[in-house]
Amino acid sequence: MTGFAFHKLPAPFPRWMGPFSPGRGNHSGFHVRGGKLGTWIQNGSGQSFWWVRGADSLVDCVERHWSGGRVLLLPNGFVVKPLQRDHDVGVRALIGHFTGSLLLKAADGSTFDLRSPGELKEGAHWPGPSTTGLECVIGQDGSLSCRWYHPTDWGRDETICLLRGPDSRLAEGFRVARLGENGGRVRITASGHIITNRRENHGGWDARYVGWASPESWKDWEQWIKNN
Amino acid sequence: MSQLYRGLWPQVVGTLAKYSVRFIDGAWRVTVLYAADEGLRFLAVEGDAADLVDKINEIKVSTGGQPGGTFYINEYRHVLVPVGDHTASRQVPYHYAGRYGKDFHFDFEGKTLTTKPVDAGGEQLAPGKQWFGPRPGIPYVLAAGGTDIYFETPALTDADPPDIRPRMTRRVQLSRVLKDKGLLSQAVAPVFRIRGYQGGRFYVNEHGAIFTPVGAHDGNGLDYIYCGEIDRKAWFPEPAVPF
Repeated sequence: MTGFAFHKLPAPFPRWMGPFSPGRGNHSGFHVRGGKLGTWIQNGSGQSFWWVRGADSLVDCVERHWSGGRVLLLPNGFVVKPLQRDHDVGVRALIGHFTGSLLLKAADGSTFDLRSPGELKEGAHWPGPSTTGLECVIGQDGSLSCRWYHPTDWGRDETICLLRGPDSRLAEGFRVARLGENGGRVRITASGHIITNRRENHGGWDARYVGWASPESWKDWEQWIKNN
Repeated sequence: MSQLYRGLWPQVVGTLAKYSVRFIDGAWRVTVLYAADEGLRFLAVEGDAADLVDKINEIKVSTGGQPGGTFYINEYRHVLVPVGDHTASRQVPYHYAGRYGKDFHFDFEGKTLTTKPVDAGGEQLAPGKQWFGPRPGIPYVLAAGGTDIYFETPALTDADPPDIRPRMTRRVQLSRVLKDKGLLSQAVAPVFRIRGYQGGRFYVNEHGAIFTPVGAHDGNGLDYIYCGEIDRKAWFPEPAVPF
């Protein structure tokens, strides 16, 4: 696998009208922060910021146009920037796509490869970032559907879409990860690995591995690109 | 040829919140389901509504259905006709059947019922009193917090005639439409007085009367409480309709 590469679209960036997940707090999802693209990983009792190696051109682009902020890496490779200025809050721009590895590095030198997280069995603890990726709902047949909205002048337009059809492997993976449950919320990470949060006995949440969906799963997403 | 309606489609509402055309005593009549003390009763409209019935049946048949069935009249007096198979999973389209300016009257045990906000004796209802007449209406929502009103309806394309945008629902917020906090407060107040900060669903009928379901005072089911009338200067604009 080659290193991370960002392929920027020419400005003005088109609007992204497709699948999207809103941010959940300041330490969720990928952010450009302090000249790095990264996210937070739980370790021990706290969280630390891990950054993606080789993402300089993506960082440059985001800092030049927006001085940093949240970025969504979609499983088909699209890179989406939610806009946050008063006049365009809620609008999302498609700024390019990424290829190659997604190697995250911590300040202490530890690494985590989002594309190759190791031999994880369904239901195993997910050792990577638990707040990145596209939020979806997995059905009892293993299908994945997503709901998102866009602001309009008069309110908002909400879309509900089946992103991927039935998949018995994913269905089983979810049942193992969340014993006794047949469907619920999952995240599709940028590398296609699918995770879910499980409520633990102590009351907290733990990210668990569900399975993997290949990049070929995400078809026809160009339909949601809207040129200005 | 009828067209899709560009405004709010009522979609999932109770059986008492809609009118229907039914074949009664050898003729198609406008009817409404009414919750009488002894149970639900179909009441047929008094007087002649043949022009309305004909139009509704024409739309139902021209879109591949049978004559008769559900329709709605909203606060703009627009007649909305859902067509197609209600049991199918796909969206049931709502067609525009014209404007209907006449008022309905129904006979119930020798008394005349209307959908105006009046009590059993025909006196104007005060806000906070229980709704008395039949209650077909169009559903809106007082947002949680009690500071905005919105509705949700399938999104249509901008084309003429419009088409349904698949898988997309449009939420329209009164705060975004009015952009004037004073007018918004005015619009919200009658519903807020009954529903409070929790918000919730309410209905507006063809007279602009607002009523909302609340837990019955005797703990059984729901009572519908009259909230007041919409102020048309502080309300959603009338949707564009074909001539």
